[in-house]
Amino acid sequence: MATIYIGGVGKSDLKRLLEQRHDPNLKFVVSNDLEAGPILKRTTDTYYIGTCHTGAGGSLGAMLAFMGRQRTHTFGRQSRTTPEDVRKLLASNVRVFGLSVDQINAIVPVLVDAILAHQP
Amino acid sequence: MTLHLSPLVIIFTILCTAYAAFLSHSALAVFNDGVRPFLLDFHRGELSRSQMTAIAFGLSAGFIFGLGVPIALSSGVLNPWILFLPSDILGILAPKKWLAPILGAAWGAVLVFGLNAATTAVNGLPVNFLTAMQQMSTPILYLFAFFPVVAIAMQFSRLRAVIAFLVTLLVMLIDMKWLPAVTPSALALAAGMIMLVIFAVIEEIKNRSTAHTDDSEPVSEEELAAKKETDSIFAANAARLRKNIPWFMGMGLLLGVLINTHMLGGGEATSYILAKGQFANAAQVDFYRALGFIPLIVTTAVASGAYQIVGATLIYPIAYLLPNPILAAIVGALLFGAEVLVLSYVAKGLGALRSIRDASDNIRNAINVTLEVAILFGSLAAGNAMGAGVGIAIVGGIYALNEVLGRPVVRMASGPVGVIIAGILLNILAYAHLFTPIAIK
Repeated sequence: MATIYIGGVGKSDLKRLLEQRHDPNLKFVVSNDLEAGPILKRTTDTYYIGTCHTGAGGSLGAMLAFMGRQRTHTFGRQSRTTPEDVRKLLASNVRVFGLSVDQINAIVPVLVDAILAHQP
Repeated sequence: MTLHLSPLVIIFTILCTAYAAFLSHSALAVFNDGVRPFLLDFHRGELSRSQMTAIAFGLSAGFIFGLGVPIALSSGVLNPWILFLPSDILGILAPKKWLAPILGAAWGAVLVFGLNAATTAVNGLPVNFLTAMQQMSTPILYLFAFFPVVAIAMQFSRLRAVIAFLVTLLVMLIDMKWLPAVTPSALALAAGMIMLVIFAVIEEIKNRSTAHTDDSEPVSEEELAAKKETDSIFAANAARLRKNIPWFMGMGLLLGVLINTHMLGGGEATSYILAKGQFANAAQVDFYRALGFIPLIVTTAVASGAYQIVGATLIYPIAYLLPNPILAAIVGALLFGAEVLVLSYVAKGLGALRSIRDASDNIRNAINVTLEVAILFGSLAAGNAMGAGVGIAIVGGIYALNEVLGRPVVRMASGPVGVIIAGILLNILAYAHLFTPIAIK
C-alpha cells in the first residue's frame, strides 16, 4: 500500500485535506524533506508531497539531492492538472511532488487519486 | 508623495543586479528559493543552460509580475522580487560570462529609471494612488503583531493559541497606555515570539524524552550507505560555497549600501513601512521574517551548492538601522562571509532539531496568512481614500476575481494590483468628468 509523506509550509492544510477523505486505503505521514528523503530512497511504494510559496523551494528542498531530478516534479503555481498528466509522471517513476501552498485544493485531490490508483 | 532616487540608489541598484546576474550565471547563488535546488544538477553539468533557463523562468515569472511589480508601483520602494528574480533569469540565460553582468545592469537601469518615471507621472495625476497607499502601513504593523499567535495555532493546541492571542492583545494595550514612546505593535510582537519560542522548546524536550525508543531502532546497512552518500553531497556543496566566500562578500557589500538607503524593502510588507519612514519597525518585521526563511535557505544551499542572493536575509534589518552606507558596506560583506562559514554547522543542527524547522515553516506560513489580511485591508482602505465606495468596490472586486480565476496574481499582491487598476480607472474617469477626485490624506 502506498505511503504518502507530506511536508513543507502547507503541511497542516495538506494534512487536514487528506484526513477529510476518510479513506482507509490512504496512509500518510507528516514529515519533511530531510526525514522523508532517505526513506523514499530505499523504498518503492512511497511518495512525497511538499508545499511552499513557489512550489519548489521549501517543497522540494533537499529532495533533489536525495532522489535526483528525474524522480521529482514541481507543479509550481499551476492551478490545474489532469489525472492523465499525473499518471504520466507516475509512470515515469516520479515520486516527489512540489506545489504552491495556495493551490493545494486544486492539485492535491487529483494527485492523491492518481497515486492511490497507480500500481508500480 | 514624492520620490527622489539619489545617485547612490541608482548606481547601487545597477551594481546589485549586475553582480547578482553574474552570481546566477556561475550557479553560485539565486534569489528564487525554488530555483536553487535545481542548481545542483546545473553546476554538475546535468542540466543544460537552456533547460535551466526554462526552469528559472517558469518558477519566477509569476512572482515578478504578480508580486514584485505591484508592490514596487504601489509603494514607490524597490523590492528583491523585482530586482533579483529577473537577474536570476538573465544570468542563467546569458551564454557568456561577460554578458551576464551587462544584462543584469541593463535590467537595473530599466528599473530605477522606470520607477522614477512612473512615480513622477502618478504624482501629476488627479487621483494619486501612491499617496493613497500610505494607508497600508497601519494594518500591516498592527496585524503583524499577531502572526506569532497564528504560528502557535498551527503548531500547537487551540488552547495555547487562545492564551497567546489574549496575552498579545494585553501587551498591546499596556504598551498603548503606559509606553507611548514604543510602537504598540512592537512589544506585542516580541511577546508573541517569546511565547512561540517557549512552546517550541517545551515540545522539543517532550519529543526528546519520548523519541528515545525510535532512536534505538536497528539501522540497516543500506540506510547507512544512503545517509553517507547524501552527507558527502552536502559536504561537497558546503565546501563549494566556502571556496567562493569572496564572491558572496562582494554581494553583501553592495546589498549593505543599497538597503541602507531605505529604498529596498526586504519583505512583502516592508516596502510600505519604509515608504513611511519607519525604519526601526521595518527592521523588526524583517528580523522575524528571517527566522522563517533561514532554515529553508540553509537547507537548499547545502543541498544544491548555491547560496541565496540576499544571504540569510539578516542583512535587511541590520542595514536598515546602520548609520551610514560605508559601515553598511563593511558589515554587509562581513555578515555574508560569516553566514557562509557557519552554513554547514547550521544545516547539521537543523537536521537534528525537527521542531525548529517546523516552527520556521509555520512562521513563514503565519506571516503570509496575517499579511494577506493586512494588505487586503490596507488596499481596501487605499481604495476608500481614492474613491470612497467606488474605490472599495474596484479593489475588492479585483481581489475576488483573482481568487476564483486560479490566482494568476499571488494573493498577497492582488490587493495592490487592485489599487493600481483602481487608480488608473479613476484617473480616466476623472479626465472624462465622470468622477470628482476627493482629497487624499
